[in-house]
Amino acid sequence: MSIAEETDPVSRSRDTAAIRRWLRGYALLSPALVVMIAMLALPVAALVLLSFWTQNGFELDRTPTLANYASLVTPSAEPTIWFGIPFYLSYPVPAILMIKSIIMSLTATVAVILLAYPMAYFLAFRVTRNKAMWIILITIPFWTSYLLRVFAWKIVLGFNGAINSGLKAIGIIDKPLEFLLYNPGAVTLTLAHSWVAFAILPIYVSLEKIDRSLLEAASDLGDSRLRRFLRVTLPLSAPGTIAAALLVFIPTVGDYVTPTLVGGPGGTMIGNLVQDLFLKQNNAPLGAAVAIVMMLIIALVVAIFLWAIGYGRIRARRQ
Amino acid sequence: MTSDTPIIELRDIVKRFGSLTVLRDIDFDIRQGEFFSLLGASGCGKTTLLRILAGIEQPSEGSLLIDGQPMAGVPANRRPTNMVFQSYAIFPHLNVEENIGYGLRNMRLTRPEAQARVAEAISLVKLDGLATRNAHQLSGGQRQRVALARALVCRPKVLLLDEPLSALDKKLREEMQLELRALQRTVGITFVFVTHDQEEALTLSDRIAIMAEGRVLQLDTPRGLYEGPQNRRVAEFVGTMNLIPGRAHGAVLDAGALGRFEGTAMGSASGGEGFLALRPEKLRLATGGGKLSGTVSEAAYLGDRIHYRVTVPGLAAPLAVSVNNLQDGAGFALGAGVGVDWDAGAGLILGP
Repeated sequence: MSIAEETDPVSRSRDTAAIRRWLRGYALLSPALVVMIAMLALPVAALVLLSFWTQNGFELDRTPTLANYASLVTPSAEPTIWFGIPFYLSYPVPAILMIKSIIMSLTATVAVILLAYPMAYFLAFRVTRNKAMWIILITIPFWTSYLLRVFAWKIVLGFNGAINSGLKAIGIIDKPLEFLLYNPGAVTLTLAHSWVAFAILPIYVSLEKIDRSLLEAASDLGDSRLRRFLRVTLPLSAPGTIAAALLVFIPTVGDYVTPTLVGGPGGTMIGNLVQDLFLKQNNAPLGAAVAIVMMLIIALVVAIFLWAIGYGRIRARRQ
Repeated sequence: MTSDTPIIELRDIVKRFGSLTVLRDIDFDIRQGEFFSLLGASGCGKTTLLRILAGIEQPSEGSLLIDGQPMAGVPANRRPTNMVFQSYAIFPHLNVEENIGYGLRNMRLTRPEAQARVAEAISLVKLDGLATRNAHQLSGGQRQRVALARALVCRPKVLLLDEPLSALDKKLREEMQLELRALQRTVGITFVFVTHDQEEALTLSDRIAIMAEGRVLQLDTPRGLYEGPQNRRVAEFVGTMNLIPGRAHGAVLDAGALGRFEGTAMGSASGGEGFLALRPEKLRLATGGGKLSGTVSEAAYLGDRIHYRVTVPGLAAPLAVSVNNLQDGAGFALGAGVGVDWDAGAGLILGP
């Protein structure tokens, strides 16, 4: 008892110090926390809540129900065939668009990585002077708005666009090619172009961090340039490359601006469906349910991807 | 183990980076099985020379032969050399075993053969039990051993070591010096060792090339460098040396008011400015007499020896004198007048 009394003031002051530190930490975090709560957590919570309600004409029925989610997986005896895949669903549009969006996004992501990696490699290993200038040059496309960049592709690929009129002028074709615009390919191409610069920077940083003596050591130990790249450079730049892939994949799955502008009827993605449900079909609860399912599926795809490449092991070894 | 057969032949190597010449007139042989050191202050070109041997850098002029084969156009990955890098360059994404076995994957070895060689290398550098440890869990000394094993496991004709001990603390460094020397005798591979630490070079090497400003100042055995420096810079670089300036005439130095001294003429020091060079331990102190007289300005008692500084009128720097602690008595007190003497053959006459 007496010991406890003696140590009490000490431990109390230690406690207050700890509380103060804790408060100071949260004080520093608070602006970000406020923004995150107001702009992210609350809207998501509202979306979740909305997805449990029902739209009856112009009325919103607030009785909690899973009907919206159920409708996404209600089976039907009559399959809807999409690219030879039968969907035994009474409302197959969300499922089809989800799969289509993931495939388009993955294609765009792979294209982005294949484009960005060589550029980042060049920047990290070949550019010795004026690196800042190169980085600024790479970001120049971002000085124009995203919308304008997407529109630019419309002008390049369009019926009377740069490619068609160019090919016509040199006499290769006599009428414009129609397959260039308004299809999933045009959307994937536009997405890849729009996101490539975002991918260069994380890959560049991870390449730049590689100790040059590791590369010299690999050569010294008998590696040819290609083997050295595969055995040292690539594994050591994996964290940045994975970050870049996620940075591109996650936002592009839900993109609806690009498909709206260059996708045409065949190029729609899951984001267009959500937009449509909210605005045109006046069924916000179903739109909310589709959005929530989309988020969960993206999270699942990312988790499977990270597990498949052994990301935990890569991270552990980098420390 | 050391034979006179050269394993490395350097012929008139010049290396330029832009307008800067970092190596010139590099022309010497390194013999089969010897422990050879490149010694010099930082920026003298010793690391560049090592990197030329490894094939990481190419010489601007001159030729290099390793085991009789010209190395021009042979990239680093096809040379019979392996290197221990100053930073060790341990692959952070691989464990100890994978690091050590890295080079073996580029050789035509069966899996059991490679495993046996990795296991052998691990026990050679005393890393038993750490085979599956990750790179970031290793201490400095362990990283150094991994780097050494990784290079040795490839059984190179020449092992190149770029200041491998400089990142270790003093005690570990001395331990590793002994181990490195023992290891070199065991494996019988030629070691080319770069260091700026003259003591380390003297302890380890069969022969040493002292470098400054891209040239080799002198190439000799440790004893040869200590006892017979060819010029003032080598004399100052290896150990402590007292220098008495004057005009050299063959084996005699005219030091003006201090007198004329006989010595052993080294290098090309005749008719011009020169120095009489005397090692501290070759000097004797007495209460009177001797070739020079002065006063004791500093005394440091080291147990087995006593170091004195003797200020001699007419000499800018006081003479360093190291006396074996054999005599009885308390030695010389500060401020005592002493005579400094040495055997006639002990002094060396050096050029500038």
